[in-house]
Amino acid sequence: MAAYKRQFYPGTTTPAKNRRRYMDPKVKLKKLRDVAMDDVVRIMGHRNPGEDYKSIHPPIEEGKEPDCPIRKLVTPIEGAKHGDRIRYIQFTDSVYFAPISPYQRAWMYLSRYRGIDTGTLSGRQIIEVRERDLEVLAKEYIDNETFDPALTGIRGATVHGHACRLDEHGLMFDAWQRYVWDDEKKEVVYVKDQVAIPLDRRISVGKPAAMSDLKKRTTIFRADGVDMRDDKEVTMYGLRIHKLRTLGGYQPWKVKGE
Amino acid sequence: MAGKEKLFMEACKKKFKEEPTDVSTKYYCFGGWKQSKSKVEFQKTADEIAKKRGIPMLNEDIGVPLGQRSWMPYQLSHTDIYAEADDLHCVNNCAIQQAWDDIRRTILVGLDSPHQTIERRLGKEVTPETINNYLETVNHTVPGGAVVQEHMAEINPALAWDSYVKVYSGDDELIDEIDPRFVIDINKLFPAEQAEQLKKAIGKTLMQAVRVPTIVGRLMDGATVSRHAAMQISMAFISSYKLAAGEAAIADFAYSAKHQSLGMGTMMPARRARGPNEPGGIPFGYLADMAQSDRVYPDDPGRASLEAVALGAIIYDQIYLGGYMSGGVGFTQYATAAYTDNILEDYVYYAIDQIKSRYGGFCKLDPANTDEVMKLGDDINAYALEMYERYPAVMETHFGGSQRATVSAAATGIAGAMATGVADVGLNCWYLSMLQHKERTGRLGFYGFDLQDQCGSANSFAYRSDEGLPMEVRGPNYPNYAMNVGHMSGYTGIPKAAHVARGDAFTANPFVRVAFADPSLVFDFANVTKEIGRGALREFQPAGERSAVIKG
Amino acid sequence: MIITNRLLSADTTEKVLNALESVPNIRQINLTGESIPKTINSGPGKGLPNNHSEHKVIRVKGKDIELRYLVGGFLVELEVDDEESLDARVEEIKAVCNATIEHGYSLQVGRYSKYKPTLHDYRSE
Repeated sequence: MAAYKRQFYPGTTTPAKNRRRYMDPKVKLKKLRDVAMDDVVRIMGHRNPGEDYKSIHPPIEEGKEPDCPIRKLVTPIEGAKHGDRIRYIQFTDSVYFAPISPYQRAWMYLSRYRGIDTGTLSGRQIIEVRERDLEVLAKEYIDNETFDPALTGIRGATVHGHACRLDEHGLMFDAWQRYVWDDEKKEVVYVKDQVAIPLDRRISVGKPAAMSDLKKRTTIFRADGVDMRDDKEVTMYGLRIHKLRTLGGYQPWKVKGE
Repeated sequence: MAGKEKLFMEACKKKFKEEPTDVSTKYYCFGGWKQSKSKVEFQKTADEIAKKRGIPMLNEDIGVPLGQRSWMPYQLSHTDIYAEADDLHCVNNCAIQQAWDDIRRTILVGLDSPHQTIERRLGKEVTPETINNYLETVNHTVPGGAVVQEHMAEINPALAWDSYVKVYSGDDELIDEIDPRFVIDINKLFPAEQAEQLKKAIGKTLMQAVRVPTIVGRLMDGATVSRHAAMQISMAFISSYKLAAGEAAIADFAYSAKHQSLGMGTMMPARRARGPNEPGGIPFGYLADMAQSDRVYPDDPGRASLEAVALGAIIYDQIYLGGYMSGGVGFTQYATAAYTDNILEDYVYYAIDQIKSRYGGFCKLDPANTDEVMKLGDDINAYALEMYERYPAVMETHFGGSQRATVSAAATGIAGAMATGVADVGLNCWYLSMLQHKERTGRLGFYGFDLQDQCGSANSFAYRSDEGLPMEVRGPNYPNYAMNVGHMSGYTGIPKAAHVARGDAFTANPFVRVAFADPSLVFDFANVTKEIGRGALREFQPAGERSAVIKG
Repeated sequence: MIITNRLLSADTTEKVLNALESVPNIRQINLTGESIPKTINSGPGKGLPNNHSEHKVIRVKGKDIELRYLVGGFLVELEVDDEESLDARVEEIKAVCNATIEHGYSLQVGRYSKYKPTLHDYRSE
């Protein structure tokens, strides 16, 4: 029997294809900007750039770990090796064609990384990792195509805005205005960290994409974009899961042949 | 808001033959501003309010007074009452409290068993005359009057004016003989077809609806209601049938009143630390039966479902999960999404139109036709989600994904229930909505119930109690629903929708159904949103107040 | 009720309000939108000034108003006695919106506000 080949996600439309691309760890996501690592650290606000990582246990190499077969099986990620704290970055994605949406973030992270813990809500999506690994990951996801300066927010608290109309510059609402519109450069600039503590320098995350571009990049199905029901395969996939689960819990013999 | 606009526009179109897209529509849609007789009065009131009401930041100095607020007031669905979010908090709103008080203080106690005791054990005759005599006595004892012994302390009647006992039965001949002041008259209160069904289901049983004083339920808890009733009923039997209080047979009255009675809420597991007759134990079908819209508006099944939704929201979501289980002030904003601003209204009436045009009416879709059920569910769900996408103001009104999840799934579930007449099909459609919602938008609600919502397809037809139960007898304590905040409203609406669509006179229990048709209740269960609105407007007069014993 | 397609900056809100001043028969205007707190109200930064550029004082007809919302709607209450003047006022309001609101809006006529006081209004009694 041939080995199972991961298909990641069904569908023929652009949101479906984007979901597939984001989930497939073999796909290298496009880098659209280069925010300096120190600036990523500043925006997250867990430590100052250059400051040592705080640790919660001694480095694993010191050999103080209990004798546990599972621990022997798992190769620790860098942060775990060094005993780093677990820290987070949390993104808010606008319903108005943000490049990615919360569940797709979860699927993408879980498909591409290990040693992470991710939580998914309607208005925000958190990812928690050992600190030094988090920084690498956070930079990747601020720099790459899943981030848009106007429609993605880096928000540790008071995340309200995903369902709000955009402002006149096309930015997603943020009660704490962590980022502002630079009208001269036509760029979005972070002036506060993710929990709204003022930054000592302005950090540009670049120009927002055009709506026409975002509609090609998004994972969101919408009536005024690509309607999910126009993607027969995605629609049928959802209905099939529902049908099989229903039958499985009710008349399991009918699942045969489905 | 746009949902509200939509329904507004629909109303305008029907009433004034305007195109709904005409942005400068000339009418206030409720009551037709131009034609309404109350126009002058409205104008006058509005002028006064405009001057008096405390709008934050109202600035009168700039020519035109200018106010600022985070969003528009909520409109209580299918009413023209507007209120603020905190007007709808269950601690502020005495109508919401009274809805729960009226449920908690109710216990249904059958008279058949005590009558058998009197006739067979004590050899006394029971006749309509003795029953009337008993009812007169019990209407003295249940509110807190003493009989039998002297020197007994009594409850101040001014504190217990809401307390009484009434009876009902499917036996018209017997009921004809009972003093009408003590009767819940099925024939008068229900449309003829519903009355026949109810009388057939109830049969010859003579049932008492016992309403203990609101203040008793508040001072103790729901579990005390059967005890208060049992004690006072026993005293009434002793007095009216001239029994000797020490006889062993007397214990039978107390036994039947305590243990052969029907509480509104079943017992919950010990870990919930609640007695019976508390909100967590009320099956969805019972609460659906308490909602009385289809008795008064039998031709509007949409309203019947939506009123059940509203009752579910206040009793389960706001009081039980928001108060009993969680504590704090949190759940109002979330729960009110289901019964304000006519948004769910729009989705449900759309669903009803679809069912009628596709299948020619309710209950015509074969529940075993899974593919067609899924097609309908998918269509209704897509319509609801599309409205959020097309009307940004609706998206902002239901700014939490959980609100959108509940409201879309409630509409889809109600559609499935009405199309097939089977509540469990409706429930199955609820879960279909959840899965397709997540798939479409890439988001759903929050950790608290995303798991339950995504795994429910598998248990929606499960009938064994450890797996599921039919929807009519599931309740907020069903494991996967035990913390499903904001969902209880929809769960109540679904079984209601199924049975209203079938033309059934009741959802789960005919006795509960009749008991809440009683016009003597303080809360009007046929107009749930209106009553909540009256609470918000300070027009509702609750029971259980202590002012009679407080120096004024 | 005017619902704007975008949430408006303080400057645009100021423009709309000043332009609406020219429309007669307006009894009252209520602004609605997303709240902008003066200070950071939760998290590690709690208590710090928010310094939101749009939470600021605007001038409406020569008077200062502290704007607390990113405005997305104007509820304009008209005091008119007949259909003709209602139509006229609505047309004037539309003209104001067309001139000041760049990204578009929708305008509905109806009853959208409380017309009876509720518990909320008695709170401070």
